[in-house]
Formats: sequence, structure tokens, C-alpha cells
Amino acid sequence: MIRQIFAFIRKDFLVEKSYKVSFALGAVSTVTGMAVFYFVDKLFGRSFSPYLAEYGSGYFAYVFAASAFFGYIGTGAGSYSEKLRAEQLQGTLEAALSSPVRPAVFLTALTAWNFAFATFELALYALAGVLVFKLDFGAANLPALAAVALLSAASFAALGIFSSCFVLLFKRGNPAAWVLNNFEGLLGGVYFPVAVLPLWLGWISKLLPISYAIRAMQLALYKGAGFTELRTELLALFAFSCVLLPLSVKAFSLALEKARRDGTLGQY
Amino acid sequence: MLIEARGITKIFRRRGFFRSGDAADGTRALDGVTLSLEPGSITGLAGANGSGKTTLLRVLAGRLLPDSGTILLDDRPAGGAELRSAGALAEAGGAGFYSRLTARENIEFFGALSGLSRAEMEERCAALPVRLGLRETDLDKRFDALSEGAARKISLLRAFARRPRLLLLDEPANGLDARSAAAFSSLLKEPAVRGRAAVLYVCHDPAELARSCGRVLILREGRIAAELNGPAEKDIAEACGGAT
Repeated sequence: MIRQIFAFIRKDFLVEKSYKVSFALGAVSTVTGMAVFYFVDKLFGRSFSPYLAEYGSGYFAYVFAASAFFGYIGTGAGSYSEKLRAEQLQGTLEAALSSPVRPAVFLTALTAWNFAFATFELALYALAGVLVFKLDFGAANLPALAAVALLSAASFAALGIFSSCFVLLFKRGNPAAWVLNNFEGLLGGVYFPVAVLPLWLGWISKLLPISYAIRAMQLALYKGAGFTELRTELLALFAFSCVLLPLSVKAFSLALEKARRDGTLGQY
Repeated sequence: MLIEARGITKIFRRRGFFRSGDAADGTRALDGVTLSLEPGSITGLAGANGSGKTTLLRVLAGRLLPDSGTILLDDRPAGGAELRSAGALAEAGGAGFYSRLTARENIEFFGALSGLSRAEMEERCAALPVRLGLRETDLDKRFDALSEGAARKISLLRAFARRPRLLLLDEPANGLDARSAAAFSSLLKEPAVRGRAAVLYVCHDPAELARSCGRVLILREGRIAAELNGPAEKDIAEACGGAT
């Protein structure tokens, strides 16, 4: 299993490296992303908002951490369908799935490179936060942050796997990706705390793992909240992961079986 | 007996996502195919275009699920996962390779998916590229820079290197020059190369089938129309009615 996952990571790295301009632009976009934060910082400074009082951070610190974290866990939501579609278009999906590799291992391997790169990006953001923007992460509770990141990534990966089932069956037209792209940022508290939303939208946001993920991350990062303080968020993320992850892998296996029965696995 | 297929039927239906489709409305690619393959044997498969040869190979490779019928592997019912584990299919040209990777990187990647290390792949592939007429430089070329013949040889190399128990070859000599086709044919007959694999060999050349195969199955409209043991070239041509 480890060999299969590393084979995908190496293959994806070699493919990415072969597109030299795209590879360079990817690195540049990390820097431009940080430049956006620099100007947000200039505009808002370290001003506090009453909505942010519970997190103990200003708007800049809030949006910086939330965006970086959202970018990281969003890898799970977006990468599965994106990578699956790329394999379809290259004509390699059927060949890769004709090897004795189990669906769960295939799914892990498929996005392993994306997660590795996203982790590297997250580390860069954290470094820039401290060195360039002088943010104070001194209170961070690292074990709690790690647990939040793990459970959030698992919940988002499940959503991404559901989304990839549409790609497997319909090739183009992915309603799951549309919902994820359009509503997670709006309702999840990435750019502003969920408390700003009207009450009814606030209730809808409680149905999304992102709301719990962002809130728990902010509290662990800036207030040093631990497992006890974060138990509601961690339990919610744990429940999302426990329910959604096996369901999504099962859905993917069924979609794969249907594609094999219809003979459409090699189509795009 | 390594593999036994009983009454395999595959219909490609015209259907929507939620409609199961009408069998009468679709294309019956395989219609109750029954066959068995012994370890170490080379069985030819011939038939006109559209007779169901590729569909049969894809079903036996576990890439396509049949609508009915059973497949036994070592006398036990086998599903897609067991078949994918046991078999390797060498298909047309450059299908199923990463164009941005070199031939070697492709071979290593697919070897790793089968659980083989780079060293194991190198050991398994050591003599094969030269025997197939590949140059060392071909292996280090990006896949999309290879000629059609070289891409075909890489496809064969990938299948051989897995040392599968069931080797499925779909017109493997297509696109090869005469010398490479002859080299492949002699390679296939070497037990050291194919091991104890049962080989199912789709080919349109009756002479090559007669030379290489102890038995040839003729497929017509999705059914096994004839089974020829130790056939001569003319027997195969006749059984195919001129459409091999």
C-alpha cells in the first residue's frame, strides 16, 4: 500500500515538474496569495471587531489563518475530482485501476501529492505569518491544532470523494464541486466569523464541517484552546468523518463498479 | 486449470443513468462464451472485427464486468479484483501511459501499483527491452516522443514485467516491424519469459497463430464458433471465413 501511494506521489511530482511554467506559476501564486494578505493588513491593520472577541485576534489574523487553513483542507474537497478528471483525459484511469489496487488505497494515492504540496504551502504561510506579518502564534495548542487539521481534512476528503463519483459517472458536470466551491467559503466562516450571518444562515452553516473546522482552528491557534474546550467542534468533525468517509469510499466503489459494468471507465 | 469462463455474456446497452436499458436495444458483444485456459498454454483468439475479442480480453482482465456467466480462477469463483490481480492485458499502442513521463518511469509506476519495487522491475525487465528491439535510449524518452512501434513494445514490457498468471495480448504485433514482430513471437514461446502464465493471444495473422498457439478459438458474433487444436494456417483461415 505504501509503495502504491509513493508511486503516485513520485509520478505526480514528475508530471508537475514537466510542466515547468505551471510549476513555477504555482509557486508564484503562493506568494501573490500572501501579497493579498499584506494589503488586507494595511487596510484593516490590527483592528478588532466585537465578533472576533472570542478568538482573541484581529481581522487580519483571523482571515490569514482561516484562508491558509481553508486552502489546506480544501485540497481534499477539490483534488479528487480534479485528479480523476485529469486521469480520464490522459487515458490512464483505466490502466491505473486495472492494477491490483483497492479503491481506498487508490483514493489515498490519487491526492497524496496534492496533500504533500498543500502541507508545504501551509508551512510557508505559517512562516510568513510569523516572520513577515508578525502574527503571534505563541499561544497555539499544537496537539489540538493537529487533531483539528486531521479531522477537518478527513471530512473534506469525504466530500471530495463524493464529488469524484460524479466525475466517474458523468465525466463533466459536477454538482458536488459546485456546492463546495460556492457555499463553503460563504457559510463556513472563512472570511468572517459565522456570528455575522443572519440566524437562519447560521443554522445552515452548522450543517457544514467547515464551520466547525475554522472555529476550532482559530480557537486552538490564538487562544490555545485544548481538547476539552474544543470538544463540541472536535466531536462534530469526528462524526462528519466517521459517517462521511466510509460512505464516500463505498459510493466511489459503487460508481467504479457501475463504470466497469457499463464499460465507461476508459471514456472521458 | 487456471481459468475457466462459463456462459459469459456482455451486452452494451443504450441507456440513461437510472434506466437499466433494454437488452434487445443494445449490442450483444459476448453471447454465452465458455472457455478454459491451462497454465503455460498459449491459446489464440481470432475473429472478424467486432466479433467480441477485445471485450472478452477486457472481461478476463477484470476491466469490464460481464452481465452474466461465471469466471473461475483455480476452480474458485473470481470477481474483478481477483482477475485484475492475476491478469495483465497488453492493449493497443500507447493506451494507458502517462505521456509526460519517460517509458522507464511509466514501467516503474505501473510495477509499483502491482507491488513491485524499482529493483524488482529492473531485474524483470533486464533482458526484455533488447529482445523486443528497444534501445536503452528509448526507455529514457518521454512516452509521447516514442514511435508507435516503441510504444507498443513498452506496453508488452509492462505486461510481461508483472509476470501475471494470465497474459492477455490484444494484437500485440500491430505496429511492429517484421523483425520486432518475429522477436516478440519467439519471446512469447519461451517459458522462461512467460513463466507459467496462461496466454490468450488475439491476432489476425493465421500463420502466426498456427506457429505460436497450440489451440485457436474462433469468435463469431460474440460466440465461440470453433475450437481448433494444433491447427494449420489454412484451418484457421478457413474457420474464420477469410476474416481473421
